[in-house]
Amino acid sequence: MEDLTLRQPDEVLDVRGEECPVPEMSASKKLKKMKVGQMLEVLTDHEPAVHVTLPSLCKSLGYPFVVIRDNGLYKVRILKVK
Amino acid sequence: MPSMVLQPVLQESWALIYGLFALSGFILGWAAQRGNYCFVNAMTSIFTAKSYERFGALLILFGLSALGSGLLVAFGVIPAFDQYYYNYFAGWYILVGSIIFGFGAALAGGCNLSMLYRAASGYVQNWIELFGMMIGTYVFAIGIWPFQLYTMANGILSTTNGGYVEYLPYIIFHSISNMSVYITTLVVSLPLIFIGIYLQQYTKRKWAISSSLRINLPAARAYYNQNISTSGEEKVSLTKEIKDLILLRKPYGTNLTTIILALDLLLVFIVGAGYTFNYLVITSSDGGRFFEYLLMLGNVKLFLNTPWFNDSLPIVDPSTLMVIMLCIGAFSASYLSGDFKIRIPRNKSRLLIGFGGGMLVGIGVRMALGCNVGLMWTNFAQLGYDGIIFLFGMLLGVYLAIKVQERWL
Repeated sequence: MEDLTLRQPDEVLDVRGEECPVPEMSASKKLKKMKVGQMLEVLTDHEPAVHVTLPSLCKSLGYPFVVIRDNGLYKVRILKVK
Repeated sequence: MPSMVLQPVLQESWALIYGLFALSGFILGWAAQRGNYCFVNAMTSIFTAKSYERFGALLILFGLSALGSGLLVAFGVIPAFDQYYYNYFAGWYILVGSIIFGFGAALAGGCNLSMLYRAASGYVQNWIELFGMMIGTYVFAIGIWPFQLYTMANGILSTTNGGYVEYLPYIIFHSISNMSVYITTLVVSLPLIFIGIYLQQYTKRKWAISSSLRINLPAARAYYNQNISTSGEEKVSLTKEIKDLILLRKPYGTNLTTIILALDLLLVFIVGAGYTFNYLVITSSDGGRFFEYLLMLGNVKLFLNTPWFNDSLPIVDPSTLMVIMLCIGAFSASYLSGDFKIRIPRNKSRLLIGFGGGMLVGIGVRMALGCNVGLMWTNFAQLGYDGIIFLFGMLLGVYLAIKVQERWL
């Protein structure tokens, strides 16, 4: 947890204002192109993406993630581990 | 022949009836917003995140609604008439309409429930979707409805009647006796509930396996050694959980929301029994009719000379009130939890897609004679079969929309 919150992301996906299924679909596309060990940061203000779809995506892929709330904006950091 | 006569069950005053409908709409908006409940999201998650957790919850919702309303009828609390009165015609238009609806809703980013509660939470894309839906309703009314009506009247790929003709106890047993309703209720509801629970458990097991496999990978082990937490979830006590839910610090869980929504439908079913509006017969027709109301400001009266609109309901009825209260409930939940915010997509083309998707939603729901709430969810509680057709059609539409977006957007 500590490492994911402190580390600088390798890629940033800004989907502010976007709704499902865009955040999880874009995140999935982006993760496919990234290398193992890299971290993706998804910027979103869409609660369902933070509480439902992005966690579901990460759990299905087996990727660790953390959610950081920053003044109405969420940063979902996902580590590609395989 | 089964009865088609209205017999009010509870003799409440109209003020109380309207009050309870308002409460029901408020609960619907509040709970859906707090639980992030979206029928489209439940289906897109299957294809984008390989998760059946939300879809399983939908099946549980349909099962609980069918079980509750069915048992109320089977035990004689509510007459069977109230259960089958709103069963519409079934035909090609439900399948085609639900595919168009699913496609449009997945493009626009919301089903008819989430479109309204998100619009009330500040999502500009859903305002645009709602406007698109109004235009779509008008396009349907002048371009498709006359043809569809012809096929319905002449039985072309369509039944020529609704009501008990579409009622599963009548179809299976040729009877609407309490026992036939009881058996049908169990046959319809229990499999839905069990399949829903199974899908949720299946998804959780899959997540657990993904998590344990990860530990064996060298790249993951290195990070584990640095004590990285993986799931984003922390174990909390039940008391803290309840406190967080009451103080709106946390969203409602999937199954808690499912139970609240099922109870809300049953509240409407009981309160409205005998008045013919005893279901969540809302959102799509009212959403479309707002266009009619807007034009009235310019003295254009669609209900006088335009097909579909001239069959529509009075301007203010319990269902309109329910939609307005749904938006108020959602806004209250969103504002009090600190989630309310005017959200404009950074990619402005999403607004155009939202409008186009909204138009398809308007056309699809009118063609299918209802939306995911007023037709699909409600029809499971009505022990009809239109909801089953709608479910598969919507799934196909959502799948196609995901494929289109993955490829081109």
